[in-house]
Amino acid sequence: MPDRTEKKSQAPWLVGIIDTLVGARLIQQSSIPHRNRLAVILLDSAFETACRSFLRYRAKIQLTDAHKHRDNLVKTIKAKLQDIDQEVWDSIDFYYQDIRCDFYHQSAGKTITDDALQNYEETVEFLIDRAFGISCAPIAGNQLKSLQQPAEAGTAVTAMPGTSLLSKLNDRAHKVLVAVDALSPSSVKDVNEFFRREGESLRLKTDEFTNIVARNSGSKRLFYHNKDFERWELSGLGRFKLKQIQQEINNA
Amino acid sequence: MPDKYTLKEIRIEVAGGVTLVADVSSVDGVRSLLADLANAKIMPVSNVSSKSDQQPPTRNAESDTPESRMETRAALEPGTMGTLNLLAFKDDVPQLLRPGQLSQTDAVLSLLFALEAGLRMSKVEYEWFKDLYEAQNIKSGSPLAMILTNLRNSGYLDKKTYQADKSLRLTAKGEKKAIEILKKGRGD
Repeated sequence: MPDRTEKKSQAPWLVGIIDTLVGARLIQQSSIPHRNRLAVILLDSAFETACRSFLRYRAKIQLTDAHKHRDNLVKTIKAKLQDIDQEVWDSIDFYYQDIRCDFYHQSAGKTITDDALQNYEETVEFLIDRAFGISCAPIAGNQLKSLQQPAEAGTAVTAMPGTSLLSKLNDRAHKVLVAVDALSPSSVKDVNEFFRREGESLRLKTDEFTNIVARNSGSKRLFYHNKDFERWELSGLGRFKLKQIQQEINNA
Repeated sequence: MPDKYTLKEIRIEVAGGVTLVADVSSVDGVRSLLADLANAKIMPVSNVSSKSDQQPPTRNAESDTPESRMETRAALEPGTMGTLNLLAFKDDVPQLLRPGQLSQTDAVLSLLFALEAGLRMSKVEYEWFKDLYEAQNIKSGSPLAMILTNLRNSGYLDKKTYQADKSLRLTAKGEKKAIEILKKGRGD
């Protein structure tokens, strides 16, 4: 599970951007009546700071006073990310001009719907992903999960909800799927510790674990190695597969 | 390949409701019999009947795969999905085989059709689908949420299902479009 120290291996200009996305998610999950309004303001901040970071550190462009103006900033990044549809930039402009600026400067009593916020959040995350070649939603999701589950003192891994699934599974790859989802392990040692704590008798050797997550054609596509955090995580297919397994067990 | 099977007899239905039964022990024997019947102008029923009289191939329980279910729903001939090389299932997870050749919209509709027809899911939660979509290596210029909004507005996705529990479901129009995409891949 990623924690604050693991961020050392993450590009430093990404840390604050990801934290802003985590903040927006935390606010969305709160019971603050105007949470969506606050999340919009944070997401816009994530977008704008990501634009500056991308231009400075990835595109290696010397930012000038002209780039302090939003229009110039967006125009410059747009020229660098030409394979993004115009509709996406139009959406970003709409949320900035018509929503964010109103929320930030004018109307404290307004907010937006959950659907609209989700659209905006995914648009911002999409642009950040394309700019930096990352997948920021799972990273932010994992960090949020780690914030919400305080670590137990003196233990390497913590028990996660849903791990009772283990006892109902026969397939080794499926058990590893549960373990990787629960703790994003850095090695087989974390996985075996997790199995032990959950009362699961299976223990894997390093080679067996590597075969499942990286070599076997049938299972390796379910996992990916997050180089930023040096941890194994579930791929999109892996998350889909795990949900399928959970549903099958619930229906059984 | 004589070691794989043993021929014992052949039954051939001919015109007039007559069924001929002959003892044969080899493929050559079958060939000779058919040649002799042709010389005598006695044609097997399947050869003399019109094309429209032919019954579509039936499926048995063993061929009840996600691919075959998609074929049935799309009124495609058995085995078409394999030859299309457009989409396949591995461990009940659909995967686009040529994601670069589909537009984002077509990819979304094809995947949803695969889930609904192939895996018999009446609807799919947005977060499930997002995971599946993002794993397909689709070259995208827009985020999934935006594509889905456009599909809902165009009537390809059921708005009510989405409003009720944020799940995705093809409308009749969406399913028709998804079938068109499959058939287009076949060259229809």
